[in-house]
Amino acid sequence: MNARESFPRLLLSEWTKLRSVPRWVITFAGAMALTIGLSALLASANRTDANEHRNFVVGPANDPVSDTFYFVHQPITGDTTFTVRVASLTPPREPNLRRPGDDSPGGDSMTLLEDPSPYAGSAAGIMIKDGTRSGSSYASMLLTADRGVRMQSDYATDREGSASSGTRWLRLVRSGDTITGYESADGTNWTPVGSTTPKNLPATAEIGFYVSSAPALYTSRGGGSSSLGERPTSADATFDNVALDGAAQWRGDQIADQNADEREGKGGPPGGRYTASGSGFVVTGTGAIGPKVPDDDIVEGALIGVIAGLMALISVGALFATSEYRRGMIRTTFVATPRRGRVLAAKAIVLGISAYVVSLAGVVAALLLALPTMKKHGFAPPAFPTPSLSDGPVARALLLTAAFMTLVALFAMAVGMLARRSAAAITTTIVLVLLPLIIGMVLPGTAPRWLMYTTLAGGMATQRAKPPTVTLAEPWAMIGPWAGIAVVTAYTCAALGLAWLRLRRTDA
Amino acid sequence: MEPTIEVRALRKRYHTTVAVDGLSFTVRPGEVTGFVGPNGAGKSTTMRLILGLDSPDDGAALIGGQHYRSLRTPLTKVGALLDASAVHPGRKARDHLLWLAHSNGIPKRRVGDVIEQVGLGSAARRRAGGFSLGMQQRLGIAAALLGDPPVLIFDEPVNGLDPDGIVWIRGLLKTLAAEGRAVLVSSHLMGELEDTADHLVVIGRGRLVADTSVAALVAAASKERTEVVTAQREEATAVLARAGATVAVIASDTVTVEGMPADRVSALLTGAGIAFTELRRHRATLEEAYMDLTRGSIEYAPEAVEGSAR
Repeated sequence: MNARESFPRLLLSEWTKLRSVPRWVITFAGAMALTIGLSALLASANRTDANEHRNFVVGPANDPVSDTFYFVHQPITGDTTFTVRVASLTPPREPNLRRPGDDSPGGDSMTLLEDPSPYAGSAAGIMIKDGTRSGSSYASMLLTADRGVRMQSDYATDREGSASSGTRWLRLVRSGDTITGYESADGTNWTPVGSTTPKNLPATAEIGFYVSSAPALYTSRGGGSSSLGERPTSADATFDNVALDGAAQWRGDQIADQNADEREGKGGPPGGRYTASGSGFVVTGTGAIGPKVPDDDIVEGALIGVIAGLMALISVGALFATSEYRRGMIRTTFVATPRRGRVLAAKAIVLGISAYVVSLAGVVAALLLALPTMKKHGFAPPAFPTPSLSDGPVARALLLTAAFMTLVALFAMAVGMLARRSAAAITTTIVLVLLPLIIGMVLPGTAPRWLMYTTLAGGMATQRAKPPTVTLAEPWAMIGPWAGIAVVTAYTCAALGLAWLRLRRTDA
Repeated sequence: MEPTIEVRALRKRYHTTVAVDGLSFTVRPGEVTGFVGPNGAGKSTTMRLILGLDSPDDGAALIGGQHYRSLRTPLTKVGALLDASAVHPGRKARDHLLWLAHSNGIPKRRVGDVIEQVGLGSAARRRAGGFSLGMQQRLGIAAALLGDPPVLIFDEPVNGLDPDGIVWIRGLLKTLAAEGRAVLVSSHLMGELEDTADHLVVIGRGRLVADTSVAALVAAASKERTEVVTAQREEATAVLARAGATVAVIASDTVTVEGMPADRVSALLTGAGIAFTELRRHRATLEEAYMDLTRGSIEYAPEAVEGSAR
């Protein structure tokens, strides 16, 4: 007989095993159905009013933005050069983290969020803007309190200048549609920072100097819920050596802060103001200029059924291993292939590919089916741009989520090889996934982050298309998708390694 | 590869139990070798050691001079039936054989061939969970034959088979040996192998008790014994005992005579004028020979009940 040993044939052998047990095929189909079904069901339970929020503003690219600051400005037509010296910038004093009587839910302590974004913090700068409507196109040169000198435009473009703080000369030059920014230490030697073309800059634009100071963000999470609070801050800056060709009368305006009145009633800081003092101006400003994307993730929301599909995959993975130990079938397997490592590898590859195909089909279908419902319930543009499968972060979330599900199924298989009992293997794996999730939901603040970095639950982070955040109830939002998949990969490799060692050493 | 199984000084201990204790024997091609011993004697352990499933503590088991674990397409060199119920109950008989065939690169058509060979043709597309013990046994034999191997190992293949099946498997074993294959068949009942095996390896408590041909074993075990039926029992006993034989009374008119050929018994009785209605020479059955051999090596012997009513 011309029999030949080859690894592809061993794969075919394991595939024949997998497909020939109807219950497993049905469970695979069930994993897909659960992922899609639960996602569709819960999509209709999820609502948001982000688009109806009264402070909701969109920028020139129709993205949600924050555009609140104090602007001292005048109209200017055509090409121009505007120079200012920022004599000083006084950032807000350190906000009080735990103020008694805070109206946070349950009176929990609130955590101040560190925002590393270049749009955060306080800034004094000069700007050319399409009118004074909040959300309009702009270009600016700014001196920040702790992020150096920057040039920004249209809530999306940020260029880094020098790391200076304190006193700095800033200049904007308009030439047609192009704005070029410069900075200088002495007003004589100028360094260009960058050039940009704002999307809608009319011939006659508003030009001037401004102060912004992003609100302090506080969050409180735990016990299965989360809340996000903002406390406004204000910064002061002194501008002098104001030089503008054809300058006329300056006027100060608080750019769009509909909450200002309400806040003043509560004793909070008032909106901005300016006063002329000698050759200069003292400006107090409050508010932030920059992108303001909601932390809620439409992709994550649409994949909520993954946890249910995962349970079915864990069952198949565990059974694929433990069925070998029922009635001593493993002996038949090892009599046919005495090299046990190859059997384990073939099993893992066959289960892995099957689980990946099922998972990927499940998550793609879940997203596509849940989207229309979610849109109807407020997850609509502009606050929530409709995700497309070709968007990088969306594709990454789908591919990595399927990988997460696959790796957990493989982990269950490895545990099955070690435990040799279906109930033990399935229970162990489910507990290892769910228990950290539950504990992470309950634990307050950022405490669950380490749990996500060290347990299988961290793999849930793959479902997010948006960057990590600590403002949501779900603990897995705290870590990035790659960290999440790395944790699960490490667990699965370790379990498979142990299974391999055990197979080699023990009698079958 | 010469189709032989060589077991050399094999030793295997599980925790405190020595399952196989310095066992050596050879299974040669062209013969059915019966592997006999009471339950717990170490037959299945030996087979697992031969098949590389368990690792021996000492010694070796070689197939054609090679360790099983070093065989590349082992199903084409050794076919084994260990436990016929080791089939996933949800899998069709055909699929069970198919994955086995794939694992060793055996052509797919062999699956159909062996299914027909063991007479499971009509059940090939049924799930193994619904199989009777006999059908499971046939499926296990089909799996062993799948790679057309020159060496075959069957652990208790007769278990669960109906009389037709028993006749069939005996014929199959003989045919396989006649084709030049080495066939090792275990059983805890000597009677099952009496008409089938050419050679016998008898073990007890993990040790070799006998390694011999069937004919030699029977001859060695059947001591000269003659049964005499006579109305003059007491006279006969006296005459024979005086001549040096050991005489035992087994019925009111029957004695057995040991230590004396049958023709001498006949001559003595005739000479003494004692009439007997029957004189028969007794030949030991293989079963009796086996009982003699393994007495003392039975692991789970019933304990004598003291003071029991007679």
